[in-house]
Amino acid sequence: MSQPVDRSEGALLEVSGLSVTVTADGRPARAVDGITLHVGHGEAVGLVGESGSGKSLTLRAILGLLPPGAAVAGGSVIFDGYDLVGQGSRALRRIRGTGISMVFQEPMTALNPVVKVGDQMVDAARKRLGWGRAEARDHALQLAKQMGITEPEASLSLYPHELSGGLRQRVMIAAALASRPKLLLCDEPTTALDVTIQAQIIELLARLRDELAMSMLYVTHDLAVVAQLCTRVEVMYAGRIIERGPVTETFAAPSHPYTLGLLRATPDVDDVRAELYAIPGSAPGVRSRPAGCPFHPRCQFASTECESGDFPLRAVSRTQETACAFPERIEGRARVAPDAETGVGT
Amino acid sequence: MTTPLLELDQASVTFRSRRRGVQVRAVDRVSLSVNSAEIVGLVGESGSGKSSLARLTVGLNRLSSGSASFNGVPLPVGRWPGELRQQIQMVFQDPYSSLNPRMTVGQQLSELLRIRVGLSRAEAGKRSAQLLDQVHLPAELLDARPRQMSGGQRQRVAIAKALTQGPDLLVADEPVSALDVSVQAGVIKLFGELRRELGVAVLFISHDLAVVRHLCDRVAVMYMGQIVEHGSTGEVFSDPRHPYTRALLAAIPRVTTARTETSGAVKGDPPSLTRLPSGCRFRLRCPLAQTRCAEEEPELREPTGAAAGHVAACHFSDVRPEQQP
Repeated sequence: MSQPVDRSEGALLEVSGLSVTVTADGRPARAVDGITLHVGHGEAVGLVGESGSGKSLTLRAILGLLPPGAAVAGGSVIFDGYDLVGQGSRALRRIRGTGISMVFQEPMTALNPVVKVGDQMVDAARKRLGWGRAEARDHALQLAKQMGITEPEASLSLYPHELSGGLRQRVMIAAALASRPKLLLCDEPTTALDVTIQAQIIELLARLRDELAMSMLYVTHDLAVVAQLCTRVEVMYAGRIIERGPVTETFAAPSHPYTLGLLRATPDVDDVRAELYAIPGSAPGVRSRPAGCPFHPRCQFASTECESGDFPLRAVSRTQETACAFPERIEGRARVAPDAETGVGT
Repeated sequence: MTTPLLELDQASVTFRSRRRGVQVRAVDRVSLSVNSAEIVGLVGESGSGKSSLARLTVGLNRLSSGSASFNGVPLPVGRWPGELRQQIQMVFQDPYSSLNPRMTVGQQLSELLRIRVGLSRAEAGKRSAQLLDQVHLPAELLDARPRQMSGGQRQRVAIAKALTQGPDLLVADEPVSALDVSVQAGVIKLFGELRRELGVAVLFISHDLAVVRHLCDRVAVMYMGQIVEHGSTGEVFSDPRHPYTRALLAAIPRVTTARTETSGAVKGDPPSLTRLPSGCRFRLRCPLAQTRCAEEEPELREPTGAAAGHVAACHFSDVRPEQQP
């Protein structure tokens, strides 16, 4: 399952040195700071981070869908041979239409409020795939069934506001899948859903990944969802990638204290013996990122060397990279909770 | 036997459905108790009635039948007396909803302490600092406004506000669901500490079974307005007797194990409360359903071989899944 980290040749999506600035009150700040990552054909990559890490901005920058006040400040995004950065909106729309779909956490932002949801799915498939109405309709119904939507015929003839939140979310995912994209960008699409529905959607996405070789870049804060769906993981903190590697190896033996902290902070439903660990403090805002290693004020393994200088990603094994200068400090500590922990001031 | 702090007996909450104009029972004949210094979890999918039940216990929803009492005294129908409102406090998912954006943390805490508790200005200031310490926030935050704080800090302030009047019971509705994982653990532990140090009982409503397993002494699983399984947390999680509980557990993604076919997970959505199926409400999604399930509504009872106090509402709860055909 694991692949060498540097195999980016011929990748479907290649992001290099991508930076995004957000401007508020006339003061720009770098929210995404030189991100480099790739997604191979048929590969699912998890982009994990907490609020303010820049993971959603990264995803939106790839599609040219940044919110007002945010702009790409540098870097390139190559999708299927095309550079998406700096393209006009018409060119972008063409590329988006033919190969990339995105699903958001908030379904209302992606659905047209005055078109019945079934028609939106049918339109997407007809426009992008050139299908006939009947064929597109069957496809839409089938997708809806796979999403666990009960009574799909009835649900698809409703307008977005008539659906419950969970149903709306599934319809949006189905609409994004209706055009059979090569790359699906996901921004926490199952976070607001019940676990039973989430399980069905994860199962469906995994099947599409395998059967249609659909690639995925999946942004989430939920390590468990990444473990179910992705083969590689990129962990973001304060606008940078601080650890990357194959999911199984990274979660079994993380090489950055932040990843270790996240794993220990995630409650395990099967095992209550390990005490939960609260990472002290909270993630820094875009304007208050510390010098040196951005994680050092919250890191229980930090020393004075961590307070200044650069901490670029470097290889710690054939498959794993970390931005921590002292990964040996957490070696062998997998998921056992530390002795002293307070969670003060979080 | 001592009187439970909170006791619901066959309690129901009904609403009129907007679309169909019929009565729906969001909470349907629920019996549940919370003892002093006990943490009881209430889990279920959205629409299961867990929030309606929570709101009933703080007087935001009206009881339509059955009984609900606190310290043996029925919860009043109209406006609650001040003393009762002090004893039961609610913590919401979004701490913004209980914080005033224009006032500093110190002002909000002292205001409550002066008006509701009757402390002097100086006493209130001192007590505010103590309360912040109790929720592990630095005293500097007394001068901060909600927007200057992180989500975790805001939730701790909301908890501090709920503590100003020395409550016996906190009703917490998804209190950690909106928090980042790295800070969520701290707030979960805080509830455990408050119970240990102040003897506060907590009714903890959550959709996250892993969180409930780590925090709660007992857990009740709700489905379509009813409790379908109830018992000590360890028992319910290690020996679930209702197929719905098993389905919920099977659906949770795990960090440690690779993806497996979620064969145990249920498909589809719960049916609408306005169109209840006959018999067992879970039967349309249940892998074990048989004709008996359509004819006879299962009652909560102790299954064979289950620990005392562990109950499930399923005709087939005596048989564990590995023994089932």
